[in-house]
Amino acid sequence: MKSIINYSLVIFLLISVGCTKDIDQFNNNDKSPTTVPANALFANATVELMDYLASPNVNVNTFRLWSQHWTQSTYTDESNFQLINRNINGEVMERMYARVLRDIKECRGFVNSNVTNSESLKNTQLAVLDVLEVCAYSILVDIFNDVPYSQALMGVDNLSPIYDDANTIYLSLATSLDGAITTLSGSSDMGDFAGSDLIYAGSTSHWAMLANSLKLRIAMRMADISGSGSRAIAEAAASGVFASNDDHAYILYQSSTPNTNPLWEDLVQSGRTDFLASVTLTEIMNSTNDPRRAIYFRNLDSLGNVTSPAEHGLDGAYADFSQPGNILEDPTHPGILLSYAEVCFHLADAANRGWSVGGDAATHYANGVSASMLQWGSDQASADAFLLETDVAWDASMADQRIGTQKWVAMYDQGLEAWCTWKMYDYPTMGVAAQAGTITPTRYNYSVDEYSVNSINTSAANGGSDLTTDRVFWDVD
Amino acid sequence: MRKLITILMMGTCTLLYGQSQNISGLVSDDGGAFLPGVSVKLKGTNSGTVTNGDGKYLIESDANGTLVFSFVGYKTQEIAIQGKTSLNVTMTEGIIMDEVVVTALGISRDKKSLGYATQTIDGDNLATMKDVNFMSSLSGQVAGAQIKNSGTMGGSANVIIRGYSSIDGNNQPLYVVDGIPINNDISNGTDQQTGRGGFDYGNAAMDINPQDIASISVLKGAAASALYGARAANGVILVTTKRGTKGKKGIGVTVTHNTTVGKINKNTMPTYQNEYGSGYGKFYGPDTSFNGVVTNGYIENIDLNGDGIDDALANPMGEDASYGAPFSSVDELLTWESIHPELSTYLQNRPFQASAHNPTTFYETSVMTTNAVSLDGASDKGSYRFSVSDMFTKGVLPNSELRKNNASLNVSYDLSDKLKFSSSMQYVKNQGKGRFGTGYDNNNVNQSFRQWYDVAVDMEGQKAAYELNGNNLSWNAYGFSSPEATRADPHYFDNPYWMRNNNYSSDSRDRFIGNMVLNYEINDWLNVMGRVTNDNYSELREERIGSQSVDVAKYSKYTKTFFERNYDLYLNFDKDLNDKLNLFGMVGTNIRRSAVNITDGQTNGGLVVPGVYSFSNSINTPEAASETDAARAVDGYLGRATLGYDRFLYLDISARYDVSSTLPVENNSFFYPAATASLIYSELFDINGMDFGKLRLNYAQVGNDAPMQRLQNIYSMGTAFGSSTLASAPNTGYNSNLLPENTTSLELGFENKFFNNKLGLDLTFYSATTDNQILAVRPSSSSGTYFQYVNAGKVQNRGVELQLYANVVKSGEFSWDTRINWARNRNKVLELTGNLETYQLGSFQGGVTVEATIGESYGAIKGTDFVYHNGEKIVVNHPSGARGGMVYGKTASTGIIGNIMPDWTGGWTNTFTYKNLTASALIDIQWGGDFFSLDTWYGYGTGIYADQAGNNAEGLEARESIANGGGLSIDGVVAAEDLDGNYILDADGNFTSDGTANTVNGFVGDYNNYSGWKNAPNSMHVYDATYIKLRQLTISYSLPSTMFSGKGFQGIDIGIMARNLAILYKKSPHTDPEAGLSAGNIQGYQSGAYPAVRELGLNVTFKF
Repeated sequence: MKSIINYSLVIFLLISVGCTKDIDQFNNNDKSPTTVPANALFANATVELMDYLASPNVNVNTFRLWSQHWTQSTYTDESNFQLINRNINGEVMERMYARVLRDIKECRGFVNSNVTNSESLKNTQLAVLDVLEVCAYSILVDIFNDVPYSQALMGVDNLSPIYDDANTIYLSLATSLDGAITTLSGSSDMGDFAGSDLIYAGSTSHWAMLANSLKLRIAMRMADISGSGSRAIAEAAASGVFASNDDHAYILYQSSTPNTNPLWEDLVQSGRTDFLASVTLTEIMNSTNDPRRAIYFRNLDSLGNVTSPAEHGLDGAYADFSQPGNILEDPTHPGILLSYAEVCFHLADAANRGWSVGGDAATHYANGVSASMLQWGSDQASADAFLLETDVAWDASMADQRIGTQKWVAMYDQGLEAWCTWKMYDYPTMGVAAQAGTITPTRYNYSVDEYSVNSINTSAANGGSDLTTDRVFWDVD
Repeated sequence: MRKLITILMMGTCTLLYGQSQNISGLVSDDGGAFLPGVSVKLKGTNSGTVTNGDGKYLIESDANGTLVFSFVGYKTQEIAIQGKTSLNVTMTEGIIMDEVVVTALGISRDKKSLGYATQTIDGDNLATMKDVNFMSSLSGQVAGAQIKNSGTMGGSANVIIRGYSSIDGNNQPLYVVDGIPINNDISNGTDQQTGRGGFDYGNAAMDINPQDIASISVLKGAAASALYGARAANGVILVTTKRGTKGKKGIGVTVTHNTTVGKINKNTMPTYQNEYGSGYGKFYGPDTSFNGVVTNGYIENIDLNGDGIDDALANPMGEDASYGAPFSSVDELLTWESIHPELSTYLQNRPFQASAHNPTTFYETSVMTTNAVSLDGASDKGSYRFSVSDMFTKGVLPNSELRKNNASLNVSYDLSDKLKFSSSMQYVKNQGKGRFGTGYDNNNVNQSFRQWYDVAVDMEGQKAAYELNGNNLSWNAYGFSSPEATRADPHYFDNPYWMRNNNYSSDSRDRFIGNMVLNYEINDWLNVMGRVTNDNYSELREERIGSQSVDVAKYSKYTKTFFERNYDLYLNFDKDLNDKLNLFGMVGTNIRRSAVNITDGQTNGGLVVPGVYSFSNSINTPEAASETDAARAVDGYLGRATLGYDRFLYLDISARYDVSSTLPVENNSFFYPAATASLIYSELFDINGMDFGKLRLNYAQVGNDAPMQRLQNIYSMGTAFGSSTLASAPNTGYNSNLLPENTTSLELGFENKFFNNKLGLDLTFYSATTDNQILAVRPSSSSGTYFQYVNAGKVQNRGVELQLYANVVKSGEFSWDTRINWARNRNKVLELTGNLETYQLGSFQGGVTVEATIGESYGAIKGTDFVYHNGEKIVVNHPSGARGGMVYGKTASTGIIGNIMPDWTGGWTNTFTYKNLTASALIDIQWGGDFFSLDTWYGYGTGIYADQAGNNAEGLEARESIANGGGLSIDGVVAAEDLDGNYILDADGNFTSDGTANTVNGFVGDYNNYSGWKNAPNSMHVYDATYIKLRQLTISYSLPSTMFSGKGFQGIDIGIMARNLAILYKKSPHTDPEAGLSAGNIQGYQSGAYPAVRELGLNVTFKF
């Protein structure tokens, strides 16, 4: 009997000793990588950034509606500036931080730890990442004003970052661009990034142009703030900006999902009939006989005019009004990050202020209008004729009105930039949305999610005020 | 009482005059079958025996003693010997307060020795009910268990015992069948669980065949379940299956047939208005039509013949709302029946009227048939039971069916006097087709039926249109204002009949569950048991979206294999140390290995050839399938010792030490102890009227490991963009520094029986705290991640459970028994991490979240609320000035507007027995708890409910303009304005009021009304989830065995049962308050809820 007891105790012991060793091996994940090529993260960050900007989805990007280029047919919440029900303000933070900026940060880590690339190649790649990063942060500032910056992207080390002052972030972004421009100007090789560069296919000189154009944009946003140093920043950037439509920063989407233009997904693939021309845009385009009407929209009236519901944000039967043009329904339609037309209008503004950016305001303004016409498939003759229209022809005494309005029209496929243009110049005059009873707000407030998970910092941000009628720091009269 | 005195006197007599004698007898069940293994003990002593294979026993006793007969599933009996030498006993099948219960690790124990609360449910009770998911049949039967059915065919059941303790992890109990822990994965995706669509495939534990269940023990607290380790922290549902009866003569054959039919309960469907047609308001045409008919902009003027002059009126059928023209305004117009060229009514005007067949007629009668055969038999050496069953269900939705086949075998064999072998095996095959779509999805008919719908649509018409040629002729076509080539295509919704027959899922799960056990008796107090258990299954799910659907045509395929194996070696001991002191317990090891392997792929961009569901038929190259290959290993060392003193005081100590593969090596082991004590004070004091009294006390800790593969960050690879590879940083941050979780619980209980067991009372108080929880917190997205794993969080659950039993009437052959279960749980989130004040469990459409917030009960529903002034709601002018009237003011920010946790839950069963006839009724109650309804949130804005139609208090049409006396009265006080007419807001940005009562109605004339999503605060759509349900009703009759003598039969039982017969009381209109999305932590949200189904069944059992 004793022996049996002993025997079983021995079994116990054997099992005990035998199994616990190397038990952690069971936890291995053989299906997912723990490292990836840096260039794959770079390409993904580019696509995520572009997808956000191009999307008209009401859960994602409402700026085609907020800029009052479009309004909605039946479900008019977003045309009336509703943000909370769909957590749209939370979505933009998630996309920029968790999808774009996080990828850029991780990518930087892999670039730095790559021992086979030369130091100068590393620096070039890091400079390209800096340009993308500036783009993402400037979007966040333009939408919210104060946002997390100095403590952002620290993962588990800081789950509730503080919000940084928007002006400080902007100046830091300009500095970051300075470094990138220096590096990119002295380099011609992006190494393994070239094949993953969906914007310029590895052309460092174009990345330098984009960096300068972005720097010009940042400078011009701050132009109305005295002592912001924006003149110096603008003048330094002006010589390196885009010189023609060939320099545009855009990506060409693909014909097959999932890499199609998000516009196509919401306009065509969804089978929905949501978007109509907003009266705010139709009145201006009709009154100036804008040749882009038939391109921007379809279902024009017999006089070639765009038609829309009487007020922005009012329900309208889809079939009765003008709808976004067929050109937008191509899945391969390019997504634009920054266009040459935009640059021209920035230069026009700078020149009009008497800043040394080369050329005069009238020329830059005309270049901007022409660039847009050509970008949308119209021709120089039509542009020239259009520039003679009474309300279009350059008039230095009405510079804000001219630049504001025509830049806003030109930014038809860049909803966020169109909205920023209006905020900057206070032109054109925004319509009062039918159900909201107000004109377009000047910023997004912070999301319900931010208040629930980062409440102390969110409540302290923006000087403690979080209204959609507050203004971002550069939006001053 | 007299009995007690008698017993006490006998005890005294024994001492004085005790004289030994042998008593023998035969123990059988009330059907006459011999019962082996019945415990026979001499009351008040240590001596005892069990019946042998023939149900016989022999025990040495004194002539005046009392014998106690007890056996799992049967009522314990105490019989005075009174000098007899032969005593035959008939055991009757038990009620809840049985004395012998199955406890952790499958050990049958004398209930009185237990220091914690357990509850046992008789298997026959479940088998009669024949629910596809046996978990659903536990509703109302277990004090402290909250069971919620999703209401879909074969859908998941959410079972929560003693509240939610884990913020993020699994809160479902562990299911153990015959010692085999079985997997209960709820592999419905996150989208399904947060109401964004997807099919409900149920949870995996539903594979158990209710026919095979002998009994279920519910171990509620940590002390009861700690030996199972981490997984059992939420309680254990311990299932014992039926076995062959050793010693029974011949082969017993039981044949059972059951047919159950079900119909939806219309009280849980919307009450539709029947006055107004399609549209959102006056947006579709001029006020007057081409021929002078006043159409008020509700109806489209169409140029049908293309001559440039309008010549037809058309319903705006492209809209999915019922805020259109009054049916009285136009006699006939073009409707969806006019737009489909296939229909004979093409281009013809159709009557403009409310439908004769609303969506309630879409639901069919469900039919479930079950056939089962079992054989059992035995010899002196062993026994077996073999059963097969076939359960076939046709659900209440068209094209839905479920088939479940079980085969099970239980065998035991004595290899020698000392060495015993037993094994139990089950093979289960589940096949489903057309599972119910859930949430906000075109594949859930209720998204349309409850939210976006045109009440003029006749369901019979939709059915006939579909059946004509199988095409998707939808009521929601684009409409006559669209280009002719596409105007008949479906806009937002498919024809529901077409959808059910084309956008459907099919699935199968093959499962094998089994164990093998060897038991060697070393000596009379020591035995060793070795056991291997296995649970493995492979699962296939295919989902389809047809080529004519509003959604992109798709085929997706999900395969999953799972296994878990446990290797147990226990050394059991049971020794009387002296006359009064007994030591009972075990030491052992448990080695657990499990793995899951999933591949999930789908087509991309549509299907080339309609109706061919394969990856190769994808229009674009399919994206790479997602894959999971994960394993877990846990090595456990455990032990338990119970010290019993003189059968009235028991002390029980147990401990377990686990080493887990899912934790970092340096922190991968954890130890947790439990101690319980039970004092049977009725043995010490003579309390008037009390037969039995016990005090229980216990303290326990349970550790827990992490989910698999959560230690190291991984990247995800995307579909290449042209030639550029895409990779992205993880959305969820993992953590290499995780520590094990810990739950600490304390429990106090009383168990009493009075008046010759006519009244029984079991009362439990408990408190459990889970801290150091491993959870994926949702940080600020600016931290760069959507979720981050951390050790954080502390949640406390405190509660009271009550079980009350009473034999109300016992008169001759009539008996009335009543049984009440009642439980109340109070839950509080005590800590999270860092600056986090709340943990988001789910973020839903409508701007509503469900959260675990510090200082609040788990499951707080957050959203916008009414603004109050002295308890009255503040109302403001309609934001769209032209509409006039008032709307409720909304808070500027979101706050807590409800909580998912009920105030209390309870069940009340009454059983009436007369001779062989038994009738039983169970009332199931949930009191309190809230849910947000996306159904009325949207539906009140689309005008489909009766609430936004009819006349107002002034007797005028509610939908008329405010100026014309329309609108509905909206109680409250008006918001204060300054001299410029701007609202005066307080520091939080909320409206203020001077208390002036509101006299102006709220506008309900179109979708932009005060009660729907456009203007209502979220809290207006939060409902009290209280219900009182007549959950089940059974009548069973056993034909007297005398009828069958010599006819080969041993008996026939006939039963009639009804389930979910009526909702006796509820506080939420238009729906079943119990309906939810899925099992899991995310509750309190209804979107496209399914109606409750009333079921009526007939059960016949033949025994040969």
